[in-house]
Amino acid sequence: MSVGTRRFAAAQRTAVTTPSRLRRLGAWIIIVPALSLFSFSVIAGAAGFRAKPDVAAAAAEVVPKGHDEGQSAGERDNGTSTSNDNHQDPGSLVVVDSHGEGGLPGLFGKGGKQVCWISTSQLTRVSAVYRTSTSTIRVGQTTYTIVTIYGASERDLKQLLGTYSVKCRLVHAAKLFFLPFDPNLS
Amino acid sequence: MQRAQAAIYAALFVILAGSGLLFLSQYGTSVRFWVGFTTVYLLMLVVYTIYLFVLLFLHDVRPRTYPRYGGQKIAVIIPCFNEDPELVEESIRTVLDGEGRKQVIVIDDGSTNGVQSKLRELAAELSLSLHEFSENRGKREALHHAVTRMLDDDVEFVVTIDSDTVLERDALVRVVEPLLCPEIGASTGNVLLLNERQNLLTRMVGTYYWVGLNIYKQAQSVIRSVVCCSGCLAAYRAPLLREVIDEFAGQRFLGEPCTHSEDRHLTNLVLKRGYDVVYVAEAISWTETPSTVRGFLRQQRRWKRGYIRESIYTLTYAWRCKKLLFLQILLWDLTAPFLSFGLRIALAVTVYSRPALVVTAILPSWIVLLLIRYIFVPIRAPDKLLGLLVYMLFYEGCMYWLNLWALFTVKNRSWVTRTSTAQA
Repeated sequence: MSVGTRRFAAAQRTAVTTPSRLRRLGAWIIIVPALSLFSFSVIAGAAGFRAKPDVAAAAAEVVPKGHDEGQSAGERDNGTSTSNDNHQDPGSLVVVDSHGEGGLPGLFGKGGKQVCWISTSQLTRVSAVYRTSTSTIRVGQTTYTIVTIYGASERDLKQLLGTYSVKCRLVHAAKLFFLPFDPNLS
Repeated sequence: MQRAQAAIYAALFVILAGSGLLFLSQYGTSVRFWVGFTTVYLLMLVVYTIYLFVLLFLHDVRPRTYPRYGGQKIAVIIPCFNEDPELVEESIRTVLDGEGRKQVIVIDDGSTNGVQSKLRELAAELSLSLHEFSENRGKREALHHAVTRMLDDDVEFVVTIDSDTVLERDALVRVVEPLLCPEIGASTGNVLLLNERQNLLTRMVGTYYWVGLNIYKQAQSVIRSVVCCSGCLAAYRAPLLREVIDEFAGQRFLGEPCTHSEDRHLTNLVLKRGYDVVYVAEAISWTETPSTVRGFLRQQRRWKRGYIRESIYTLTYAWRCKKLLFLQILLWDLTAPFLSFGLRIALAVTVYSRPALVVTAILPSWIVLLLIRYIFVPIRAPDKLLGLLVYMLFYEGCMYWLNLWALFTVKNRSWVTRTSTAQA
């Protein structure tokens, strides 16, 4: 291609058009709010580093359908009943690490958590192997027991229970924008 | 000077290592330090973006005007090394056809591709001075020779262009007009691509140039501290150039002679003497960019090394005469690429360990933030939007890491895009 042709081709695409002063200034009507949004979102994202992970949202996704049917918040909140003794589907929410301890995923998986739903008998087997602690969590109108399993990953849990049907969900940190520098997710 | 440069160079390694350690600290001790670090970095990002936008707003509200060209003599120096004969002929002819009273000097820097015969033909036919080096000595030597031995006595301004650059008819007079203000020592023009439409890479590079010129260089021009007068089209006061040319030709970094990024160093020498340097968007030149990834990366490797070396050089003098420039280079231009090392690792780890997040979270957030931060692209050059997205992905995946490569090889003298190591 000759220089003349190349130049012509480029000129068609990139010829300099100097916008009028009015048009340049008018563009700031868009630019200023956009810059404000940018500043706000980045700062809000930074502030979001301290946001609590949204365990409840993840838990809501793994609780079996119909598990809390017919149970009022009052019944579940009276402090004497937990999901473990639920007559419909005995089970429990558990929290494990996202990845195993070994290898690169293990190193970088720290800080990421998964919430899973397992039956009471399965929980008994897990408790025999791993150290656990119990607390409660409110999901919608219902309060459940949630068991934190120390030193176990999602994969460990599934291997121990001999089933890959255990349903788990990643716990996300609540924030306006996801920034790749988020320590909760990296 | 050499000691100060060595200290700043060492500090860059400390920043790099510190950023990496902060990333690792979240796994070993507490996440607290990492959280604090990322927060500070993001605030720096916001402050720098606002700073840029304020400068661009000032430019739009009160665009700078300069006196009209009054017939002063302009010397145009065109160093040439193994250039495409057709392109160099076009380059010389556009200079001679352009407006302004001129002396045209062509230096053949020991070319081996036969372009000399074309240059001799042109010298016989047209009004230009040709000097040939018997062997390749580098662009610094070519400029030094032209300035010290070939300039007419009545030349007031010197314009340097690359031998693959063609000029708009009024480019020469537009680029020298700022020099009619006594406080301005150098100016640089707009660069567009002859081959922008060739492929996706050249479109991406076209956006890279547009952002570099119309955002960063334009903003620097508002504080009259443009850090690099592009080799494609740059103008200097002739007396000033004569004053600095020996220092320019003899530059050393950490004891090693410097052979590339001569345009950035020449600009540094002008700024160092307290002169202003500005950008003139209306002075338009056209050039070619490498059209292969390999060629482009080779060019960028050289540019990144020059960027680090000359930013270090700027820090050694700018506090005395250009405080805003000093702060900009210190807090952002030089520090940020290495400070963000840990953040880039965090991004890479996230992509590796949670690939699903790339589609559901990282990419959408990134595109939104990108479009806001570079909002001038969709507003003022919407045809470059695709190039912007491709460029930013390419930057994160590839070009960012060239900064680290350049840090470790900054003393390397090779030209890397040409066959000879002397050419700069």
